[in-house]
Amino acid sequence: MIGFILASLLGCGSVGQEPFDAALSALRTGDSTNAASSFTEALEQGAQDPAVYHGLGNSLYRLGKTGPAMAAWRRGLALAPRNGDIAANMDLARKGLKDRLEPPTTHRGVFFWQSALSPLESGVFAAAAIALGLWIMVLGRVQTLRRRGPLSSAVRWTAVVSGLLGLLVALSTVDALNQRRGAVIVAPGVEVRSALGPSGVSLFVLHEGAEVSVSDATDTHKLISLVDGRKGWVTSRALLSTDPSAPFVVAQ
Amino acid sequence: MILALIPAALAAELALQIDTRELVVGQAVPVKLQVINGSVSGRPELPVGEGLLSQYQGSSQQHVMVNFKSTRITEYTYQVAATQKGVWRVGPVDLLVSGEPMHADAIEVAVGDPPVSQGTDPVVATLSDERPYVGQVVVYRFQFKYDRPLVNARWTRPEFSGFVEEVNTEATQREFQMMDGGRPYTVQTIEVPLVASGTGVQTISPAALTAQFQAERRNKRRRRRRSIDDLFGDSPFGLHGSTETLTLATKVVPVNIQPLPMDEQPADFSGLVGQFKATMKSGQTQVKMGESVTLEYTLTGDGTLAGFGLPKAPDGAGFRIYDDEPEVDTKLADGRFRSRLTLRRAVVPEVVGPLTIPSIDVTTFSPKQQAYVTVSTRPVQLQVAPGEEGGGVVTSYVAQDADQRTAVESTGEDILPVSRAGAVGNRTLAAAFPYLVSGALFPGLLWLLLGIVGLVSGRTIDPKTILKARLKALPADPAQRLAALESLFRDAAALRLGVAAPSLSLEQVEGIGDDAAALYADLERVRYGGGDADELEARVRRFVGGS
Repeated sequence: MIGFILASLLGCGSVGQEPFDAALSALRTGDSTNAASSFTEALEQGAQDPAVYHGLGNSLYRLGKTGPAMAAWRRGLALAPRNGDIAANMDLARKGLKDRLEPPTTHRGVFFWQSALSPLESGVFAAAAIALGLWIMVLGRVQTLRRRGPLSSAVRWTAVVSGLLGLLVALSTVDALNQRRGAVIVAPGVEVRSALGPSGVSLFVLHEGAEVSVSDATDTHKLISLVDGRKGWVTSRALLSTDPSAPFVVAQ
Repeated sequence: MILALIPAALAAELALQIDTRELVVGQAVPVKLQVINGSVSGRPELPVGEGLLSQYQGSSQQHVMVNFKSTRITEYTYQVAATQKGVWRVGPVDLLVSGEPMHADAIEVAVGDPPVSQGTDPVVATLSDERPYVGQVVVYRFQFKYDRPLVNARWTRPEFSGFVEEVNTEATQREFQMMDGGRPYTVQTIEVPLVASGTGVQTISPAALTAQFQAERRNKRRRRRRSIDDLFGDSPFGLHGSTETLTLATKVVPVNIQPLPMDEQPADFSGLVGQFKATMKSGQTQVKMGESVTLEYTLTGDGTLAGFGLPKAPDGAGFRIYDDEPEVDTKLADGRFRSRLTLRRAVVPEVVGPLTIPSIDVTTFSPKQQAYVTVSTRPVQLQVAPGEEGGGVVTSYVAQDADQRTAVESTGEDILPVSRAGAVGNRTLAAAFPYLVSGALFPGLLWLLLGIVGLVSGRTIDPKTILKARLKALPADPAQRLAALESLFRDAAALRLGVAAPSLSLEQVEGIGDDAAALYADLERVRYGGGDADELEARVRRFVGGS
């Protein structure tokens, strides 16, 4: 089983190591501009890693780009929910924001374990549990073919429980991925309007670093919602997604 | 040694005992004069003050053994009745006990006002002032009078409309043994201190009392009824049960609460309503520079002190002041509310020479005078002498052993760096998804494959296993069990011979062995009612197990 899990992590093999190391060196020397570009290069090479997003957020924060930094850290936290350093950085950055907003939720309350597990971890757990149930079924089939008696009741129940548990965790993982609709305002200030186009009324103004949830989207605009229930449309250029798999593009 | 201890163990003593030291006019209490391990000649006299009357009741003797030591107590009982208000003494008593002069100290007894006369009413409710001012403390008194043996009594509080109960003082309950025309009776009182809070005419609702008396005997019914019976009436259950329950209620108490005069109210009015007096005293009149002197400020009165705060200590006039936490003590005594505030303040002189600590002025409202009154203390005079070297600097040695450390102050905040410098990669689920799916599906595919293999090869579960499983699940009904056993035998025999079970014959079974043939024959016989079925089952089990 351990071997299986390790094999499953083969897809997470090392990529983007060179630009990442270069970015860390640049960050240590205080060259935040080069650090940010190196971290971005690592991302482009496929290194969607919490350490990369952590470093990218730090370099952007040093450059005064609080909004993109918040987006980068939020992505890092999505990949490593138990990373206290990233969470502490976000807390510090939030103190300097103009809008005092509750960050949007990242999963349903019923799937509480998703707050401590990354999608990769819960995916591995789900696959391992389902595989265990299936391996027990294979063992039962082998017993039949070898003219041995059926498996004991406890073993059969283990297979059933393991399989159901795996399916439940898999379901929660899919749901958590679907809930991943967060975004961060990266413009200094943006009006949130009631409708698309000139007919829309300005409802409220959000400032850089505000964390929102995206409910709907067009080619040019996104319908955002706040935790307190307020909704409105903003231009897509003012937003940066917190989904780690989305491209990380920061306007210069 | 033992002989030396005997006189000490038997040393005579004289003691005076009284149940309570607070009486009211008309109340009588027993007083006991105890002579321990001794004897007196004649009947001792009990001297009492002018406001008391003493009457000898009798004497008794008892012996008690404690730790193998015998103690003889002679007890003389007197009934002491209060006749005048005031503080009076019971005793002292000087006697010759076994020839030795002995002395018992006097006891001081405070005699207060008697309960209000309630005539024939068994319960009454009164208020100490029916026209109080807002903020004034009044005492609500509930009185219950009875002259029958009381088993139990429970009272229900009325609603004190327009009042709040004084927060620092609890209601008190007292009991008085009284005499009326030579007849004893008991009065129980419950007193509740209240603070007037509303204004205008208010009404305190009736207080209810449920009392259980010991029931009268039947023949007592023929006697002339006593006054308490006339008041209460006979309970319908009184003649049959052992107790008689009565529910009594007081009348409502009307009260008119007056507002404080607002026109003349001084700006520094402290909120205190009542009669107050204040004192301030110092433990010493001379103090050295650099040392402190403690002043004690006391405010006593009959008003509530809840929420009262002293005026800010005067500072900067040649001295500094440090206040302790004030102590507030309140009580109900003799039906009146008493309050007392004590504050200790440390005064640290800052100049050498004569120093005057100014008086403390508290503006109160006096319901008695119907005016605002300033309650002042006298100023305190101190003589400040030059101190030792370094005088003028107050040195405190109190906290030398305390923890001198302080919390680390934050000078700034910053983001936390990347702590991991290992290999990075794609940590998204999408990257690992193919591996995860294949890892999970592989055993599923293997399971399907094995199923197909089993189907194709026609290999199913071992028939012997099935036979054994059937053997474990034999029916309970004897006829069905026998049929199942026969079927099991035939299937096991057919399996051994490699023929179909339905076409099995005795000749074919004989090919397996004599035991099998005998079992076959016995099964046939038992089916028609002969032979031992239990013994047969054991043989079938052995045959199937052996196959």
